[in-house]
Amino acid sequence: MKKLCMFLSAFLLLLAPAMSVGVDIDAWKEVKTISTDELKKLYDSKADFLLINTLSPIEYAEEHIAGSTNIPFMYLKSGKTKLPDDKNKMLVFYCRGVK
Amino acid sequence: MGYKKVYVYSEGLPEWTKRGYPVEANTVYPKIQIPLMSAATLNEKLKHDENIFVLDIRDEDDRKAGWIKGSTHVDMEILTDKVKEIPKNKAIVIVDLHGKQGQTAARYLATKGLKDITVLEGGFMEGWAAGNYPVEK
Repeated sequence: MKKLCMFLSAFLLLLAPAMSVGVDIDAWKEVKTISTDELKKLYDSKADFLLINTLSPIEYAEEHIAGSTNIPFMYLKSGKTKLPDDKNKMLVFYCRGVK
Repeated sequence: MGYKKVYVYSEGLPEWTKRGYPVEANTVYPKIQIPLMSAATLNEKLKHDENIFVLDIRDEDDRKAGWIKGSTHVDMEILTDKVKEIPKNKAIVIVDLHGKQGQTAARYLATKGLKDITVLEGGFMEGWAAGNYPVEK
C-alpha cells in the first residue's frame, strides 16, 4: 500500500497516454520527492499546485491535509477521476507515507 | 500521462498531522472498537464452513502475496462503490495488509447497516501469512 504513491507518480510522469498497464521499474528512480518542510512552505505560499490524496475515499473522509483532493489510483486508471488538462501543473501526491 | 512536475510527499499524512499542520475531515465514523479475530480462529471457522464472508480489502499489488481461499476481494479504494454487494446476513471478517486499515473500513461498514464485523488480527501479513495458514495464489 505504501508503495502506491511512488508507483502512481512514476505512472503519471513517464508513461505514454496509450499505456494503461505496466510500469518500467526504472521509472521509480525518476520520481521526485518533497519533504514536509518544503511542502509546508509551498502550502503557505498559496502557490498554484494540486495536492492529491491517493488513499481510499473512506480514509480521506476521516482525515486529509486541508485543501487536498482525493484521487484514488483506481479511479485514475479507470478514468472515473480526471487530472487537470494542464500538463505543466504541479502535482503533489501523498498517502500514509512511503517505506 | 505526460505531467512534468510530479512530486511525492513521501513522509505523508502521519508526519503532517504529527506536526500539527492543517487537516480536515468530511465524515467522522463512529468511534467504536471493532473486535479482532485471530488467524487461528478464522482458520477453524472456515474449516467448519460457518456463515462467514471474508472481505479482503488489500490492493492488487499486495494481493500478489496470496489470499485466503474463498475470500472476496474488494479493494478499499472502491469499497464505497461496492458496499451493497456485501451480504448483511453473514459474519464479515475484514482482511487488510497489517490489521490497521481494517478498523477504518469496519467503522465505515457499520454506518451502512452491517452489524457482525470483525477484523483479522495482524491482517494478512502478520496474522494469516505469518501463521503459515493456507494461502491461494
